[in-house]
Amino acid sequence: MTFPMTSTMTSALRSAAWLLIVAALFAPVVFGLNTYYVHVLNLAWIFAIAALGLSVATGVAGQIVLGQAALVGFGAYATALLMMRLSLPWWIALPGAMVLTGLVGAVLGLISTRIKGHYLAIVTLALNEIFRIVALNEESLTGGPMGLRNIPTLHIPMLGDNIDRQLYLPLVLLMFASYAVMVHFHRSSLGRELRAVRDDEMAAEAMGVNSVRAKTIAFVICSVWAALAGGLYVLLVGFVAPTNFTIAESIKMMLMVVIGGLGSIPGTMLGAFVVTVLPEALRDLQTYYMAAFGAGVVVIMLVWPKGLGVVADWLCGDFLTRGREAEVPAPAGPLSLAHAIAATSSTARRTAAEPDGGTLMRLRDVSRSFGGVRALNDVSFEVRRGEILGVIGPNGSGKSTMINACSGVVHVEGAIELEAGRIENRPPWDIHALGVARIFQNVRLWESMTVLENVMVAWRPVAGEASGEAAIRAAALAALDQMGVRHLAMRRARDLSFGQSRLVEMARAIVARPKILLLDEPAAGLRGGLVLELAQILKNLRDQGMTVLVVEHRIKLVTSMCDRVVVLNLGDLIADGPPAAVMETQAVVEAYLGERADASADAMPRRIRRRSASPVVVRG
Amino acid sequence: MLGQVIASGLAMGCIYALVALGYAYVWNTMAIVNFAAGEFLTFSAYVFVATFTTSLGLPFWMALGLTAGAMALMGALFSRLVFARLQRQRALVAIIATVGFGIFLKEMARIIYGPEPLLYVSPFGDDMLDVGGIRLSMQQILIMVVVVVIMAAQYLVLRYTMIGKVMRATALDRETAALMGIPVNAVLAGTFAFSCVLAALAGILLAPLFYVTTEMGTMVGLKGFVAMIIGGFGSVPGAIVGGLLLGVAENVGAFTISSTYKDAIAFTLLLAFLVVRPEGLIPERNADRA
Repeated sequence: MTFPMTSTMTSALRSAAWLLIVAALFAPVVFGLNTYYVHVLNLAWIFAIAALGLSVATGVAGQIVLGQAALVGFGAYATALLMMRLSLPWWIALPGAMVLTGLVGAVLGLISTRIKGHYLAIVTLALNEIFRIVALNEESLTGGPMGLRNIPTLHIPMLGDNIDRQLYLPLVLLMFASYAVMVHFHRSSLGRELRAVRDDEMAAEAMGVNSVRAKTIAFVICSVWAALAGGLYVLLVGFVAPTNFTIAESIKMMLMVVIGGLGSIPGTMLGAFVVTVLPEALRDLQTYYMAAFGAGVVVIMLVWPKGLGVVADWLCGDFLTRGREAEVPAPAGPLSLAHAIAATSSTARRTAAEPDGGTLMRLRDVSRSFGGVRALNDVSFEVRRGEILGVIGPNGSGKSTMINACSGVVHVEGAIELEAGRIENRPPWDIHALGVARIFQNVRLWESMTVLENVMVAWRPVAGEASGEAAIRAAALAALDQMGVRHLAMRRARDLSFGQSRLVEMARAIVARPKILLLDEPAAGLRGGLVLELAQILKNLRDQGMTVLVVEHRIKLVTSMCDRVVVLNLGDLIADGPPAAVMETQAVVEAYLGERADASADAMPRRIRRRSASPVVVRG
Repeated sequence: MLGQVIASGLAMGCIYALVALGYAYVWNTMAIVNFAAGEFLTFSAYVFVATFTTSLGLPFWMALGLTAGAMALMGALFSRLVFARLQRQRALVAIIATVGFGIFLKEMARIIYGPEPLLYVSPFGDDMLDVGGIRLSMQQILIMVVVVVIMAAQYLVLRYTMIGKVMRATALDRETAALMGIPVNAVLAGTFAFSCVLAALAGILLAPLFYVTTEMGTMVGLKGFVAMIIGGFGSVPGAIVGGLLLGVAENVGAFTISSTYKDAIAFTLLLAFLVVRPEGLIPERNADRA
């Protein structure tokens, strides 16, 4: 938000807005609003709770759920049946229904780890329809099309003369409490993980986020709020019927989340209010209302994707993000790593790990095929503790596949050992936890999150050291400082230049203090001066005890910083040794430049030699 | 009796195949699923019955042609104004936007033509034809004939004509196609228009079997999507096979297991396929990953 006013003015305005909101919330009680309108408002609060669950699953975690009404219905029927069949009081029946629905959500979550995108949309739609058909036909349990009637409702006589007045204030309070809990969740470490999965699932997994767990949690949260809404509905109106939980209702709840700006939790509350109350306010226009709504969704998705979230986020202010980090002045001039070099070297503590400190990681006969193409063919080599190992090779020689295999992104045949344990084909987050971090060839940051949050997601606890938000924050800021980009901490990742993103990605990779850092062409897209500064930083990281495996194309960079080089060609390992020696190897020269022609083509090698400034020398 | 059940299932399967084919074409060229396809079907059934047949009193074939033309025009417009812009977005945004457009279309049908269901009597009469002991209504035979003609025509066009080659090139690699001078945007709009014509045909053919209501297309649209997943996401022959299979399975299931759970059968089949064979019967190269 860039409001042209001072922050004190903003916060005064915000306080005034809240005062108005609170006054408006109490108005129906104070002025004795018509019962029908109180009922509509009560429904709005209940819908807001149901949509809150959807907002977490779809908005925050990116899992498309078009069957929320079925989950609400499940909660409603469960509450009703527990009260009617087992004669349980509401304060046991309602939490019981929430637990049952949460279990359904956990199953859905496990399904969603196998089914994504369009499939998940159609599956949730299908489940909604199946739920409706079952509720319609299993009369002995659900009461069939007439539903369940005469369910005991909740009475609080001191709050008013009828049930809608009695439940109005409790529902308002419950709804605000629910949203406060979820806003808090959104900014917690679990909330960050969910957002990372939404923005880029593969990067999230590689940086230590257990996506199966994250999605399951998202679905459980989605179901639990749905069940609470369903149970409250039962306690308010005293009956349930299948027509209350159709696909159309699910889509209506999705609209609330969309109008609230997909991903904004407080926005969903406004969305629910608008979607429930507006049709009543526009009763005369009822005919055109739904049509306008449908068109409105299309327009919002195309031109105003943030929806009402803009307003709601402003109202919540700092509560959403927790206090901002004090701004660090941006360095004058272009992006420079000079400061970062100083930062890394000043903390450099030469550990016992010398370049020849034994084997850290070993690949044995690793193979991988894509269709008929063999990307890796029985590749074996080892990475020694405390060295910078360069992996070079022409395009298509299997370098990226090798990095993907070492970080668990692709499955391979053969063995990859880290210290004593095997890591091949294990989930990426397990491998990250064991001390393997990576960067991607094309930068993969979580674009909707801030730079600081990006780095915080990848943080992992170290035994015996402080954890908790403050410690994570401090560690993330230190990592950003090491890469010379601390001044970007509060920026959105999508607003960064390519070079800045690369450095943030480096900070994200080192924040968990990995044993080994896998870098896939870290210098790509960096300008010349920055490349050499990056090489210096990598050397400093090595001097701190980190082992680095770097895939790189720039021979100059490789020879200047690597302790050792392995060369891949068409999936085969063709050379292994110190940089200078490897560059002289006949097989390497042939792989890069083609086989040497005989005297008749004598002029060609010389031309190549003149054009390439690299030390790959063809002796002709 | 089972033969009879299978035959009428095949007729319904033909309708699913038409809708599924529309999904497959749009998926191949634009990589978006049009969740409003069922509502395009509903809308065209209304246009056909209420406007061209009842109000203007046009003969069947003329009304059919005009409806197809009107829906093609609408589809091309929608494609240029909305669909093309959704391509740069996440799948979630595209799904929600097309669902929103579906609501808009359904409500427009209700606003323009009113909430009452429309009755449309088939111009080919209620006669039953006996084909080898199985009795089929004229409408069911018409459905099968139209679908066979459409399937053959689209195959021949895709395989042997310049338009077909241009479409396939665009589907395979849009950027290269553009560099080779193919008017990519026109091809995309044309493909979407064709998918709308398919939905229109499905709506017109369904009109005499059920009442024309604002809800008639919703379930058919969803089941067409199920049919495409069963056949293989984005696969043209898969859409046809999946549609026919779904139609037959649904009818046989309703006959042998329970007719009250008829709609649930299609979705159960979908879940079974997603677990056992998520790539579908005839997998497509650039399918969406399950």
